[in-house]
Amino acid sequence: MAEIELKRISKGFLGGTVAALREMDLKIPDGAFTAVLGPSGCGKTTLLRIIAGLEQPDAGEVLIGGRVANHVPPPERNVAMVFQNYALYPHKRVFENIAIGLRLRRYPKEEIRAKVNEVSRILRIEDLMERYPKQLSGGQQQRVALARALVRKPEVFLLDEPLSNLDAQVRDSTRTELRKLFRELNATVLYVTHDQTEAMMMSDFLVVMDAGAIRQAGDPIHIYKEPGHRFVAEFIGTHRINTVAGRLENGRFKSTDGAIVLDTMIRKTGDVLMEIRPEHIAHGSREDITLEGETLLVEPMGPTNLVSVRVGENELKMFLSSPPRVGEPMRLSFSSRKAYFFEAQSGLRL
Amino acid sequence: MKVKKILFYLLIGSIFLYCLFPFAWTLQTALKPAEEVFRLPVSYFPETVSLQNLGDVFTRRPFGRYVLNSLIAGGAATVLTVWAASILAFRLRAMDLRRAMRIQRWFLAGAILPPALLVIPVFIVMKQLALVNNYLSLILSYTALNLPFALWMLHAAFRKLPRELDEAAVLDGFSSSAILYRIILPLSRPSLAVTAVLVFIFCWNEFILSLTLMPSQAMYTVPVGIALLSGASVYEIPWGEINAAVALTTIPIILVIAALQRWIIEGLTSGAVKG
Repeated sequence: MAEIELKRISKGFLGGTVAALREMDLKIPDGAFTAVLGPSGCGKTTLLRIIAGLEQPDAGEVLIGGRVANHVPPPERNVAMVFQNYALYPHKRVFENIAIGLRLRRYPKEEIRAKVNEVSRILRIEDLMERYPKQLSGGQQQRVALARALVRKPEVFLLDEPLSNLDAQVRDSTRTELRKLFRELNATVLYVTHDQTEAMMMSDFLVVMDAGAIRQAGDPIHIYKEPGHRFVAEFIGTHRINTVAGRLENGRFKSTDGAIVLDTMIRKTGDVLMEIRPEHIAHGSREDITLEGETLLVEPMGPTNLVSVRVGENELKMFLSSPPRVGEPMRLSFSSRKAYFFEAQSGLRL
Repeated sequence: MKVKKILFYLLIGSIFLYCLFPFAWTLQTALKPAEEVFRLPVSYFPETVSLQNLGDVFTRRPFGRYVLNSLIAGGAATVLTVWAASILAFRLRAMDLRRAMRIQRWFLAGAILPPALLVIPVFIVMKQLALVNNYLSLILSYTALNLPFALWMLHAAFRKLPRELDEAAVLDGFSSSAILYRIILPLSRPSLAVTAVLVFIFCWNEFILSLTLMPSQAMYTVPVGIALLSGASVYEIPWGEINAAVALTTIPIILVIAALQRWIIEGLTSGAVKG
């Protein structure tokens, strides 16, 4: 197992006109299941490819297990990667797909057979050994791709959106399986995804990326509770956080339309965004900040409903199990301690 | 509906006849005895089938030798062309598309020149290299002439393979030549087959260069050999033998296509449907 450290990594494409990564510093703990989360195009796959050695950084250092790996060729880095489209060799049978890495490293035949059998048992693909990749379902292909990575017992696993090609049901079960598998292996895993649910559920360590930079890294629950940047607050959470633009003056926040006013502990003056999660807004006047509004839309979600309420010129979303009818007036409240304030310009948390 | 169907088959039938008539005529002339070839009224089927012409081509003339020459020059040129083109196409694939296309266009610019225009300079060069009447002269010039086409075909085929395959292979420990020979080429078999067949047909049919570069009779290729078949006097043209030779000439092409048929059909239709 190994720790991964990136020091001031930069990478540009098209002759440096498009920056994929900007002076990124990151330390990934040894043995942690790390999720790298971000919207498409934020540079998360580039990050993975740089660690794998498939891409060279323009500047900065990559350390794997404490050793600088910049000039170590990919096969010698002892990392394995699972690609989004699996990249199985279509002309080779499953057994050969899994075994080929060991063969090229000149392992003895018996050992190869034993190792392949072991991982295929773990991943429950023993019966598929004689098939070609195109004769497998998506979930099976994915398992073969995993087996190909596992069989080499690498120090670091790099997984690039491995679940995104699976249908919802298989994805859910595979997610749980993957988590269990890697926990047992105690392996350092870097898992790239744009799905925040997946990232939250699976990771011990979460890295949120945006536009080639890390917005926040750390314990996923901590990131959910204490987002350090507007982007993080808006990206994490099953439902998008409510945003109210306004101004902060002498510790008092007032929304642009004047409908929402509350006192805060923040002694700062300027334009800000107040954000509050739907799950933190309650029906009635239970909490300290009470608002009056009108029901705009009710979206049933099964056990609960996502209700949009118009307050002044703002639209706030909240969860309610017994929703009012559309058009009815409604009273809602939230705790001022649950509201986040971000500087309007920089997006930084106040 | 039925009328439409009948019209359709009539049309197909006439196209079929139109295309195959010359070949059928060649075949039946080859099978006629000499006196029947010129007899009037014309007979559309030989009255007596004779293998005389087919035999004569081999016994009275070194036609076997011509076939061997063609097979050596065409076969070697095909192998060399496809090999060189796959290495080039593999390199081009690694580049970004714009740059690769620019390089590929330069190759194509070379292919714009008609081969007839190249005969004299090529002959002079081969003469200097002392390669006249040597298979190498044909092999090298055929390779040069076909390389742009083969490169075009293979580059397009290689581009269709996902990049992640190479990257997975790199991580598995494949060297870059192993990626080409063990992953890219096996997966591009249909395109390789189509390319090889078309290049081979070009070489097999090529006339003007082989006429110039292989002037001694023992080195004639099939098209040259047929063109220079002559009778006992200037006034006699041995039509029967010429047709026999032409008919025989098509056999290797048919065999090659039959052998590679599965892949050729795959190659011509690849990309037509997803999957």
